[in-house]
Amino acid sequence: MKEYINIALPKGRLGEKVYGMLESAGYECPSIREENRKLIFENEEKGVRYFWVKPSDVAIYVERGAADIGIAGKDILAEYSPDVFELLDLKTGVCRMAVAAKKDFRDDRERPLRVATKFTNCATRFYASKGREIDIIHLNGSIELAPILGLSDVIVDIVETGKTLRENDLCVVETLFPISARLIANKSSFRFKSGEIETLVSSLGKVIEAKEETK
Amino acid sequence: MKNTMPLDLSDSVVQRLCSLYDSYGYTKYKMSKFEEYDLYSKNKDFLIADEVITFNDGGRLLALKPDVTLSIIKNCETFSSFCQKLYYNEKVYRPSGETHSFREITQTGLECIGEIDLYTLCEVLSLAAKSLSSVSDDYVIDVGHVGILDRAFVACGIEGGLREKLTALIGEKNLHELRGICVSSGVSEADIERVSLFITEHGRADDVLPVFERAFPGDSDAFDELRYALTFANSESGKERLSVDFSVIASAGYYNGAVFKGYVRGCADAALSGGQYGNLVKRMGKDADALGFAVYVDEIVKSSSKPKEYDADAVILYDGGTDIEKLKKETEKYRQKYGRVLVERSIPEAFRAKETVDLRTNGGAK
Repeated sequence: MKEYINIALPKGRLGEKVYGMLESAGYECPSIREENRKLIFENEEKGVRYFWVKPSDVAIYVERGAADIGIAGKDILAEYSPDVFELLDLKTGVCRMAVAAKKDFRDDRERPLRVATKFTNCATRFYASKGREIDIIHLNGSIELAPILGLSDVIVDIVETGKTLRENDLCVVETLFPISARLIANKSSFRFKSGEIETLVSSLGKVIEAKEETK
Repeated sequence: MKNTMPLDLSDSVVQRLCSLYDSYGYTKYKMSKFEEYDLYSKNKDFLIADEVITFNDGGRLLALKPDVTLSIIKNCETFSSFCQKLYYNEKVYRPSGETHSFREITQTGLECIGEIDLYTLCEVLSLAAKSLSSVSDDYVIDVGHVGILDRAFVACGIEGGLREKLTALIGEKNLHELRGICVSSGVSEADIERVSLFITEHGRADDVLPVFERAFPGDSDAFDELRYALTFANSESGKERLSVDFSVIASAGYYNGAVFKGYVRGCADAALSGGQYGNLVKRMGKDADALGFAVYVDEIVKSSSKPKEYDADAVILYDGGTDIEKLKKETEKYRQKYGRVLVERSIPEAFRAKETVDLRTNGGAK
């Protein structure tokens, strides 16, 4: 029986872009381009099975072995620390995790810094490494609003172009780490399908290299 | 995966493992459910999770055991030139990664405490392979070696915090970040290539170890020892199940020699984890080395047990008018045919059985 590589793709623009890269690497699955409501797409000849999942869930599918490999942003990997292999930097979906604040922000070290974020683990680790006491305010969206309304002193969030920050009189104070899409693999699946997974990684690596050269 | 296992796998897996360790002369080690919390607070980095269930027992802060190895090291006597060989089957209490709610986990394994020589390493790796072979036809064990990795770092002039970071990246097979950090830390291109081998090279000992030997020529004794131990355990297990893979060393603090993890096809997490943890024993004030492994029985059971298709093989329905002798006879007949036969006056609508035998005199009318 043919063994498939099960691939979890993040729904949305990034997932579609990465599927295009996989297609160029020789792992196409034409049915995925069809307009329908199917969730799983297979190409028996190429031995691949794709499924679309919510971007923040990709790491869970891979860690739990429902997918052998998947595409996840470094932000998700840094926040949840899933026990997976990180095999390749796809050099797409590039942005950064940053601390931002109002332009006139001044850090008053006599009191805990109020930090609003969706990425509480990243923020906690970052400030712990600096020995700075913080008060974490967990928000699920519209993080930029927090310092404007005085809910927090700073925010820790993903910054791509910085346009939203500028339009709201905010600016980047510090960068935590760069972000891009990463190819991750389940540690057990990697052991049983290492040949197939490593061939895919190598082919995809060549596509990325070629893309980088044309930049 | 062997499909001859009964529905309730846990007990049968544990029984097989214990018989195996017993047959090698290992002594069963039974311990209390509780341990002084102090033991865990002093050795937090050894634990898989930070959280421990604690309670106050007349002024003593006790904890429900989150781990077995620490208790064994703390309580076992050490003798010069004698290796204590122990096995255990215990429940430990740890929070789950996602919800942080505590779970009871069955952990079965063995520990050798004393002088660890090449034969002991061979025996323990063989037993690790036999442990997984007793639950699955398709398994692999990956083996790394902290000593080899440490000496490679020294040879490349990598030390301190950088060593820790690189070890974690090797654990993730994260070549792109490893290269990035090495470049920004001033590691030479030649040494980056050498350290990268710990990610790129994995597989059969005969294929992989010569590559490392060429890159790190000063460590041939350790490579020879690792090759011998893997060849020994592979010959014992009948097939080539043990390979070299340094990604099993995600953190090296308490290990000083071989580190290994076992995987069973279909099981998303490691089914077995072990290594030579002499550094931990010495840190706990004992002059001994140690080697052991734990089998995660719950992970194996979780991956191999399928949802029950039926609540019972057969259901025999009766009522007040049913002849009891006939009921007894039919029950025996079906019990011999199937095994699991339930005798009831009525069953809920959702109840599923392969066969339903209706001995009710009124056809089930109330």
